[in-house]
Amino acid sequence: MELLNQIATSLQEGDDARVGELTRKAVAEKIPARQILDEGLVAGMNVVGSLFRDHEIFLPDVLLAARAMYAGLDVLKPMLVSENVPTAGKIVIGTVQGDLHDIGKNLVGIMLRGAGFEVIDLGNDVAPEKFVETATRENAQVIGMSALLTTTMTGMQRVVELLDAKGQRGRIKTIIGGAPVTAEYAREIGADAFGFDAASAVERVKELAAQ
Amino acid sequence: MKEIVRFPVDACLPTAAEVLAGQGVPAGRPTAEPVAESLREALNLFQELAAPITVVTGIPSAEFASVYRGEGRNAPESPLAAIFPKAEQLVLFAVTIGAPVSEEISRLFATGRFDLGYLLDAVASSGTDRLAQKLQEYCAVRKQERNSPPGHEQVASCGLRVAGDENPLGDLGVLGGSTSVSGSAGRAQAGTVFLRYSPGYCGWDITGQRQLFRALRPEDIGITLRESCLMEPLKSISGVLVAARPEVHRFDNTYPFCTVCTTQTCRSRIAEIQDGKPRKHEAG
Repeated sequence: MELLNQIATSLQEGDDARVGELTRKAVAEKIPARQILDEGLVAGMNVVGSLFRDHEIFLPDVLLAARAMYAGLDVLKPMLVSENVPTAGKIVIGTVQGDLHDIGKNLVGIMLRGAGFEVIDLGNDVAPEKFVETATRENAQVIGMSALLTTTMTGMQRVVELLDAKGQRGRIKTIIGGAPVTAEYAREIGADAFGFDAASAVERVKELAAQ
Repeated sequence: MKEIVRFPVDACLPTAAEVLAGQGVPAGRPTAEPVAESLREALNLFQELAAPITVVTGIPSAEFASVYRGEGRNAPESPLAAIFPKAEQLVLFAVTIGAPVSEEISRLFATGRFDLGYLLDAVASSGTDRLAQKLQEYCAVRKQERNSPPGHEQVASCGLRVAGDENPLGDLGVLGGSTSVSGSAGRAQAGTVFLRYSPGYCGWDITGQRQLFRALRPEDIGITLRESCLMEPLKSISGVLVAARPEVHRFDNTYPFCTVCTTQTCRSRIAEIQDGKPRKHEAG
């Protein structure tokens, strides 16, 4: 559909005003919200993600596209709710206790929302108990944790242990990332996945949510 | 002797090209106008909000050995452990661009301007790295002055001493004019090179921050240390400036911890010692 293609193209160009305007037009033309989301906004973000993975574009371009996606989502949100359109999944994210670095975590959150996930961002300096309590209460499928210091990485292990103790490990998956974090460390502490960067984190979360 | 040195914001303002290079954008690649516009806005915000300030103090090698040992968690072998005993001079340092920039980054993310917030973060990281670079050059010039005959003083670019027990350059004031140093390796005198090393890198465990803070007390310029060894404001760098002959600074990246290092910036620093070219400033 031409209008949805235009939404996807404008999103790739980072033109938030145009995406908002075209989305309103699509709604006025009675195109179902789910179709606008999937074939317009998410389709556009998928192209952006692919270009980013291929190093054709870079993070600042991705963020502008994400901002345009949010402009469209703001228009669609009431309809998505009233039409009970399911999200791609629900994830709780945060920077672990003792750490205030949140740029990487923010990027992951933005890209996850762009991929259609519902994201509950707990911010930074988040206690292990808060990750587990929130994910349990919100019925989230995944907990995503970020750390930039070797001294705070241990908080990630504590979350895995708490999930284990509460019998939630397996139902609630965990993914970790951040400068000092490695795939080996993820295996060592029993995390379900490791995100090397924001783009790979989104791919891993999609896999975890599908399990 | 402890010394607080302020630098004007312009001294640590990165170029747009530096910021984009720090994001992995290849040199010469055209930038989309909306990105270029956000980047200009980020650079303006940095100029408006950053308040660069630094602190240094010289430390004898024996005392630095204790600082370096920290809480005994360093790698069994590390470059700095081999380098610092051969140093001509060791200077503990801390630099920060202040808290308002980080606060603005958080505010921008919270209000949906994450493109601008992200670019301001990138500008701030490059700017903090540049500030440490300026301090390194300043220390190199100060060392050269001490080694020069009277009346042969040279000055660092744009450093303003605001506290210190000695002032060989006379009254307080902006030390403007030409600079005798260039690039990352501030050259103090023929054959002597200043390079900086920080806890959390190259086998120096991040818990080393605690001893470093006890010795330097950067709280005087507003930098505090959390229990987790995180510095606040976030855009701060601390460590030791090592003045030594170039060959002392050279090492191979074959230590066990090098395999998980994602930056490998030691290579460009060492290469610069060899070819004398200024390095690119990296986003921290």
